[in-house]
Amino acid sequence: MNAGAAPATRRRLPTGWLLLAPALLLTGVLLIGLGQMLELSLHELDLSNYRLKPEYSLANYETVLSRPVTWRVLLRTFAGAGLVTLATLILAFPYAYLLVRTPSALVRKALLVALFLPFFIGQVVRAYGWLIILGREGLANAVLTGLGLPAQDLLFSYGTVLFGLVQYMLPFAVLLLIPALAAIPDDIERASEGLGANWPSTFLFVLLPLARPGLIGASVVVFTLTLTDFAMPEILGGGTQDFFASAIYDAFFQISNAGQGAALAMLLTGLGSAVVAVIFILAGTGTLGFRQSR
Amino acid sequence: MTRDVPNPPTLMPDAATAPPMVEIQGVSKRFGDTVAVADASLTLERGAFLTIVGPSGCGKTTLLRMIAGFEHPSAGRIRIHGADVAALPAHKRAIGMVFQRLALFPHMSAADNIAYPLRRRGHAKAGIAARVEEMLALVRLDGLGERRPHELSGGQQQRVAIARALAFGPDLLLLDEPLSALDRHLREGMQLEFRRIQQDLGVTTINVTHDQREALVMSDQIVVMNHGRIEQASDPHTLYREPQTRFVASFLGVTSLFAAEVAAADGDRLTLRVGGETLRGRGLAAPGDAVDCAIRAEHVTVAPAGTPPREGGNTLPGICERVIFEGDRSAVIVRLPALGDRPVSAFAPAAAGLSAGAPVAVHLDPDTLFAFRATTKEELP
Ligand SMILES: Nc1ncnc2c1ncn2[C@@H]1O[C@H](COP(=O)(O)OP(=O)(O)OP(=O)(O)O)[C@@H](O)[C@H]1O
Ligand SMILES: [Mg+2]
Repeated sequence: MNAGAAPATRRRLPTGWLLLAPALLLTGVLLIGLGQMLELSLHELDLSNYRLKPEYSLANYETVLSRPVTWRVLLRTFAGAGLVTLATLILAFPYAYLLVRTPSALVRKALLVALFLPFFIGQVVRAYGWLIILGREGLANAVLTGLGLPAQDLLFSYGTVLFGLVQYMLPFAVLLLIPALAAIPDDIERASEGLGANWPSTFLFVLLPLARPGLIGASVVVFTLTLTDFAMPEILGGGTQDFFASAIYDAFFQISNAGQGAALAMLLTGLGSAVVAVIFILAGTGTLGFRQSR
Repeated sequence: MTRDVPNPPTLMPDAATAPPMVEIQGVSKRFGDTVAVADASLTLERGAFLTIVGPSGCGKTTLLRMIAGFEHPSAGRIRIHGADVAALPAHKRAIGMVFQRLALFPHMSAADNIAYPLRRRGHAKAGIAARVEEMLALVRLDGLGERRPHELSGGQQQRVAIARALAFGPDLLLLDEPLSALDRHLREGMQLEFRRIQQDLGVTTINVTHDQREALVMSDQIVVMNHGRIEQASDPHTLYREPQTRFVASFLGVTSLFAAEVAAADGDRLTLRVGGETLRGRGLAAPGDAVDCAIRAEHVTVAPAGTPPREGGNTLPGICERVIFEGDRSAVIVRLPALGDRPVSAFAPAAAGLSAGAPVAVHLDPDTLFAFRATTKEELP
């Protein structure tokens, strides 16, 4: 018995690693990319020949950090990501809850279709769609004037960019919340109710804590996706509401300063990772459902 | 189909003055095409222990959920303390419920689970801590309050669920087969312990179980359900001795069933004709009716052939087919040619000297041979 078990365990190990290999490979490539980006960011642009200087320096970081516009865009990006995450979760939670709990198969199907339909329309196309709807002559203003209200400049504002982002992020958040909510047995909520809790109390003391793994997962995904988003701020902001990705793009392709672009990219990666790390630390180790037996 | 169900016995002395704890009148519940509960009526006096039994899917959980306020009846009325609760949400009903799957809060310790109803009801902090200790002691879990549900055994989780349901001093406790997941030993221990707690606190209880023994041992009143209907509601003795439907007769105990025809009727005393023989039994039927007869194993006496027949007849010849030694007694299966070789179960003293293949004389007690008008074409089992 023992003799037979030992080779089996020995054989199992390499199989596990083999299965992991593609993922490890991919992560490895990403890490190499990150390393190259870091190396790039340490070379200043030589304005005499428009090449990167061979020697290492922190000059790019100094330049970037000393410019007020960097901080302004950074603030706009992080505040935007925070607001979008909050708004998305607030909207996604009831949507996912209804989808999981509705007794009607028809309602569930309708909610799923409504969720996935925009999923298949790329972000750029969707942004242009909003451009048309929210434009001076668009549907939104037609409704406003139809109601006897003055037409509004809806485009190219921070609010519009955030709106577009929330609308784009919603399906991601809902999809991440569905399994978390589906894992909460119906009877747990009934039990809370039967023990004297009204609906808000049940939500606060039972539903929300039990949905935490899903909420943390969804906020990390929405936050990082928003933080690095390019198309929505670019198109709906019309160049006035640039997020950090636009600044990186401009550095690389408008002013052709790859060193500076890389420094900006490293800045965003570093700060973004820090925020995510803080979320995980605050939320504790059991966050994503590990080590949590139900 | 309406049936005359005898008035449930009065279980508490003050029942005449106070309104019954629970009154259910003509309650039905439909889920789409499924009729989960059909026209159920029952009355439960304060302090009583009522058990609902019935096969899986017969509507037991649905009935409990309607009393608790988690489902709304499609028809009928539920009164608690004499007041109609149709408009009362579950959190205002002051009913403790232990769910079929317990539904403990996995993110809270046992103590926090028990404190939950007290906190939601705005009890004072100091009082809560004391009450939690008291409840933990009541269910014999002292010292385990800080454990999370998944760190407790099945039986311990069970007790946390009961403590949680009792913590706020509910008037009514609903138990949905909470003991079903436990092994027999633990279950029987919990049954006794639970009966002790229930009697200490005097809380009116409705218990759902699949365990006949549990039902007969613990209850003041038993309700037998089948296909969403209440087949019979009475105290355990009456239920066992005077089953009112074929289903009730066959559901409790080891029962043999066979078909017969009524030859004559005198009140509930019937003369039955079956396979050329005449038997006497009891039931409400008219001459000429086709009936299903049921008799429990303990009312069938098996003796070696040639034993002088008992007075009053009702003894038929048969062949002993199997003798199953059960320790304190033997279960005997006999075949009676008069009943179309249908097997009939009986019990015999272990030393009765019966063996398979031997001819026997089988006596069917006429007082407990029940005949029910055959209402369905269902095959007899
Ligand atoms: N939410 C629901 N939707 C549709 N049908 C339901 C629902 N709840 C119960 N039913 C149906 O109603 C009937 C009664 O169910 P119920 O849960 O009350 O049975 P039960 O007597 O508690 O069975 P068990 O002993 O297996 O727990 C079953 O046929 C079940 O399929
Ligand atoms: Mg049930």
